[in-house]
Amino acid sequence: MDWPNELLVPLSLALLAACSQPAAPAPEPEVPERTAPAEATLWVWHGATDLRGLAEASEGRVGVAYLARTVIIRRGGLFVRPRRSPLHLDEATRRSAVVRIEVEPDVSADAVDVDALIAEIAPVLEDRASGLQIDFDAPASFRASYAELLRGLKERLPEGWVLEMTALGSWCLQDRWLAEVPVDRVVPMLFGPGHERELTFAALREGPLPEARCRASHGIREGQRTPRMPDRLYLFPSDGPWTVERAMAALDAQRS
Amino acid sequence: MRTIRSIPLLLLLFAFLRPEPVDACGYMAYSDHAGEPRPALDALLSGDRLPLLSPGWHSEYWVIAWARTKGKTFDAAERAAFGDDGSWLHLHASDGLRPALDAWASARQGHGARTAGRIDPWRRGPSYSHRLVCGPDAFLTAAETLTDRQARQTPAELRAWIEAQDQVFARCADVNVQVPDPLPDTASQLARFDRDYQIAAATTYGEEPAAAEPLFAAIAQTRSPWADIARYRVGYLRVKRGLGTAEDLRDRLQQTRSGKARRGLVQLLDQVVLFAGRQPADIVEALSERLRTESIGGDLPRVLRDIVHFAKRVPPDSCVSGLVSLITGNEACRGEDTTLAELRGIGRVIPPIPSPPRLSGRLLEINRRFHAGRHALAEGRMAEARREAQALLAASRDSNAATRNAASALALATARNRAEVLQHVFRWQATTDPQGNTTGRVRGALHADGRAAVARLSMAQWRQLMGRAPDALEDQLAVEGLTRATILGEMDEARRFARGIVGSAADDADGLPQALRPLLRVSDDALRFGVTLALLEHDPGDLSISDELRHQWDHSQGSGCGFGSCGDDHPDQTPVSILDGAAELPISDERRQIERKGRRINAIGDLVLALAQAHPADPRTPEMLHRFVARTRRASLHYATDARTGVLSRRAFVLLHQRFPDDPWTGRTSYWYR
Repeated sequence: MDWPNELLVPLSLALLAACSQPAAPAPEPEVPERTAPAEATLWVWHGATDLRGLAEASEGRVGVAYLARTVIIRRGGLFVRPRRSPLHLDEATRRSAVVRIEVEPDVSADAVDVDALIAEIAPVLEDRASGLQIDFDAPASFRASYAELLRGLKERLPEGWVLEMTALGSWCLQDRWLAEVPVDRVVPMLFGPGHERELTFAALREGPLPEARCRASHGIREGQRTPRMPDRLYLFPSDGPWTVERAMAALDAQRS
Repeated sequence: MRTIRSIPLLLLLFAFLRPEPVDACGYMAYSDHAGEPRPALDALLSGDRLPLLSPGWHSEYWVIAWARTKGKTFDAAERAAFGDDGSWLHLHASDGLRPALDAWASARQGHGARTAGRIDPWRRGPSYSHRLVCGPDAFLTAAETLTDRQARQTPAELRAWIEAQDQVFARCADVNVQVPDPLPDTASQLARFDRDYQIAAATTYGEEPAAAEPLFAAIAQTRSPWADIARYRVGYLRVKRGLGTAEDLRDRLQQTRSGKARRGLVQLLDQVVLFAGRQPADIVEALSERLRTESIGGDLPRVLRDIVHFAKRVPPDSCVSGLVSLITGNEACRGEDTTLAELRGIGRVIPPIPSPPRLSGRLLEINRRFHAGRHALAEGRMAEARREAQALLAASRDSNAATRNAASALALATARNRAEVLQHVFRWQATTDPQGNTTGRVRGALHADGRAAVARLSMAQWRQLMGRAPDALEDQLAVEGLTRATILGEMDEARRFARGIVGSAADDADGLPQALRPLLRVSDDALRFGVTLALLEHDPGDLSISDELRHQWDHSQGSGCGFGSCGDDHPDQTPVSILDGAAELPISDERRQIERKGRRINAIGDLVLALAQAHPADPRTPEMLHRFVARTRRASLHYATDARTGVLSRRAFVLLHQRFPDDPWTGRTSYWYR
């Protein structure tokens, strides 16, 4: 049997590699390299934002996760800041509401009233959106409450909505607690504090992130490039609100 | 200053070179709060001299300092305009909502009124936006009024008042809620005055200014307790509708007695007379002149906010005022007025605090603590630095390793005795049982300063440190010392460490002491072989893959960027390091040799391969090769490897399979790891 020429070289190399390497080399399976994400989402934070035209420019591949409200846990109770600046989108643009939770330093985890938190987040479920993303850099002692909050929100989620949570890079590496968290998606923010970002990027260059739930989606800052393209890419603007042009340029830069 | 910064390092050295506890730092009294996010207002407003000024403060505080330099004396009414919690800045209009809502909810309880729905002060606007319709003042006023009316109205009147007020507040979010009905003439005059105001307020919340204005105007003509505030409301609505004139507002101001209503009218006057159609620089000029020359009373916080607001809107190329450059930090456009540089000459200015992006309240607090501690340390204010360090340790107990390391670094720099030095160098966590026995363990490796300091110790100093350390810590230090000495081939040292480990263990102890016991009297070569195997087999603390003193990926600061972002985004951000003086001490020869060996797992690998080549007939060689390959897997799982680790793992694997194909240890070694 004659082998086709185009297969001879790769086959020879594979054979050579198999012979020179007496055993399975790596403990983790490799993730196929991807040049572009299947789905991209823009994080829209503060400031008036007009993304009309995005659906057409991106051919419907790019969605939006907009900061809908911030809930601050203070000793005096929950302080709420709903989104104040307008966001203009095409009808066709996929959208998720983001609720950012912050906790002040003098608050004990015992003082968190999960039902009250859910009540403050619930109005967001009336938004015209199809997903809820919770953005909470939860200190270790708050994680039990956080998981309880996510369970409560999951029960109240409108039909067809997905529940997402952002994650610190460290939660995907050594400080892992996401395995049982009741969310549909975990979005690691790879642009966090520099130390953590470097570690996460270094881990990504070595292989998939140790926490399996951190592998499908990655959040990066505009201008960064993730070492390993996930299925879903989230982009945070580096400066000021997104425009359609900037968003498309940022996404093109990921492919080039 | 360098001497001050070197003190903690010297403390560290004295901690184990001298038997007595060290308490050399003493106490320096220092009263100001520089480095805090806000100053001590008393000192800033009326102190004999200005306190240290911090760029970390909000600009409004700088404007106060500027006014002081211009000879302004803040009177009692002005000083009383500030609370003691910094909330006067109202950086977010919503910040006062929670306490105001709680105050209303608390006042509302126990009067038998119908249960009210949840109040949402925000109204949904178009395109996902929201607008604050009912500010904190509305709820506080309602709570105060309810308290007042309890003594003046019947329970039925009070219930009716509360339920009408519920309707008013329900309209904050939903304009479709019905406006309260007017009361009949048979109701008391006070109840009717209140109800008329509630109707007018509810109409305003319904965004019907044209309908609300005559309602407020009618109230202003009566003897209602709401007349003054209604007079202001009319002025407000007219300005909002573009109908407000300076003359009208001045008339209203003249008729108004209530301080709150007067402040509102002055603000409206400013909007109509001072702000409309004028350049921001002119507005700053006018307001700063008023600040300097008039007693502004309770309106002072608003004036300060307006000055800052407009100063930030002065185009960079039209700077005319030193006050503007003070606020914007643009010293290039220095005017004839006081500038930042001049203020520096009056009260020393602390260097700016870097502002990492996206800091939440907790991280911001930690960041401020850290920098305040650093500033205090730099100024030689040890007691204050120590307070900040202790607060930082508490605030960062939930934080990641880098932040906790930074807290430890600061605490080390402010340590007062040997125990504290040890605690913060090693992040050693001690536990004392009811019998008074102290045990503990090293929580992670060292922060940058501890690492830098201890890395410079000679082996002899290292042993002395062990002698001063608590037992539990001493055991870990001994294993680390044994590992180091074995890697370096310093077998006399290794034997001493091994003796110490065996000697401190119970006679029937298993594990590492048991493995070391038969090695105490063998030759150096046999000792090195035996210890290497024993470390690979027992490996307490994973010291075969992670040097307790070296950079470890999840226990130290990596590039040193523990706070905020650095690297690509912030290349200029300094590593978290307090002790500059550490660099002045010579590094020990032993330590330098250890550094040259590279990663711990690689150093062990080199040793294992050398021993295996030298002792091919030793029956323990296959086991040692197997155990090393297994350790490379553990190291890879802990990200303690590099490219060379895979090479060494493969070499050991190949050597094992080629030289000892039938050995049981070979059969247990199916993979090598990279």
